[in-house]
Amino acid sequence: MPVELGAEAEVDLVRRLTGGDETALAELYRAYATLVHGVALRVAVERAAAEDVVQQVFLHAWTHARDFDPGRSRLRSWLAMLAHRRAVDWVRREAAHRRAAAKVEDEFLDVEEAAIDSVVAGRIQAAVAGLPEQHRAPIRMLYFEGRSVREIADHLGVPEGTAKTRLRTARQRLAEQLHGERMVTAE
Amino acid sequence: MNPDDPITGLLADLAAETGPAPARDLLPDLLAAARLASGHLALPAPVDLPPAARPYLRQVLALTALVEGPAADRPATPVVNGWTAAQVLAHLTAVDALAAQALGLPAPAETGTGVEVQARTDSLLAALDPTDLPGAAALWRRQCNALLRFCATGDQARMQRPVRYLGIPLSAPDVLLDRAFETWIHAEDLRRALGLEAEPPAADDLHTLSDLGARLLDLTWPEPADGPVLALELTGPGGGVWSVPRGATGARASGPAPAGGTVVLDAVDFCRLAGGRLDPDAVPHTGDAHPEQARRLLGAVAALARL
Repeated sequence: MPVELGAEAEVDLVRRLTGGDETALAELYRAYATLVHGVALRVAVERAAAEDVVQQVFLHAWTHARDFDPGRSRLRSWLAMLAHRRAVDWVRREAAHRRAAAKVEDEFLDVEEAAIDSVVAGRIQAAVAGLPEQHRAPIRMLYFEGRSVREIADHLGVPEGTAKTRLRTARQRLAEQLHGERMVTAE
Repeated sequence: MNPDDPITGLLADLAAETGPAPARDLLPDLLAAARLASGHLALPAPVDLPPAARPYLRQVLALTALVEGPAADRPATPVVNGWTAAQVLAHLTAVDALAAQALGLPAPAETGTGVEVQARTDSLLAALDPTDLPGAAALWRRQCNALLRFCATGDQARMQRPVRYLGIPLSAPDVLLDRAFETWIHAEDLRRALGLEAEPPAADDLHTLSDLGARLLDLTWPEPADGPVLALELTGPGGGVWSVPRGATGARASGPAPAGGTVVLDAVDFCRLAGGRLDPDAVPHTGDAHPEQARRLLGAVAALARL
């Protein structure tokens, strides 16, 4: 698994990207290509689309590094957001093409991005709801209640390492459940 | 969605832990796109080009970085054949123009006169200040731009038809690969002259260029077509195995071990040998082929440089 960057390393990397340092772009790619590609593939499903999204996201990071505020979020979150948006844009364009070709009503043609986000969120929340309680609870606490891993461990009465293991297992089960399922259906 | 959204965070963690990673390395294309975005070259983006043209774009960008960077302060440095960097670019312009003509593009008068490489190169050298690197670079980039834009927007059906290039029947994609190859060879010459480290093509591109060289061995192979088949094994990133001479099914070796044995060498050395930059009698190689067979194969590779 690629090694992601710590907070200080992120600040330095963004400074180098802003200065036009190509080695910084390569480092950014090596650290986060799997994350960006994984997000894109889960939304758009098609590999060619996911690869295009990867190119777009990292090129955007290169040309708009100044837009990233390290005080507001982490690089991984910023990149994941960009990947999600680009992938949703792709799905909407595909829907538009299919509608133009087949003159079929398409629920996503004129739907705002916020509504598509709602569909994605709904699919993920449904998958979370389908987890066994011992995996669902830590996921809910970490992502939807904003608790730390330490707080989750205390709440569950388990060691911190056990809490981390349950979270990792929960994410693996979610990934298996969502595998191959397009988050946003645009048939 | 925004970066702080819990769904974004969960998606990011799912993707980071379970991937999948891209099936191929997208970094070379990304760096090419970044250089285009940063610079003033107005070249097509990789995504707009057919796959066969992308190695050429990448080598054009790499050589441009050299010309505008380390070479800019040393325009009088001898590079190869007694040429300066400007003269090397003039030579590339001449051959790029011949490639463009082979693909059906007009070749402007500024790209030289003559239908042979030597004559066209000489016509450009005669009009060139050997130390005018910016001028030579601007002309070379205009020709590169024209060729790449033709690939991006031109008649794609024409790109599928065989053409005649430097007296050799080739496919249009192979013409572009040849341009990528020669651009890299001369970028290597320039790096060497400036005391810089070598920069081989990315593994995928190196494999593609090696494949071109292996296929073109049919033109220089000295044995009769029914002579012993050898396996050419190239090692390192971009390596692979090819049969020489090609069978009816193509160049790649498959099935039982070839009767003539195997010749093994590094993929980058193979390309340098094919580009006339290594001596076939001195290039490091191993394998179980008879030494005389190995010598003939390496000689055939070196003969590619004289095509």
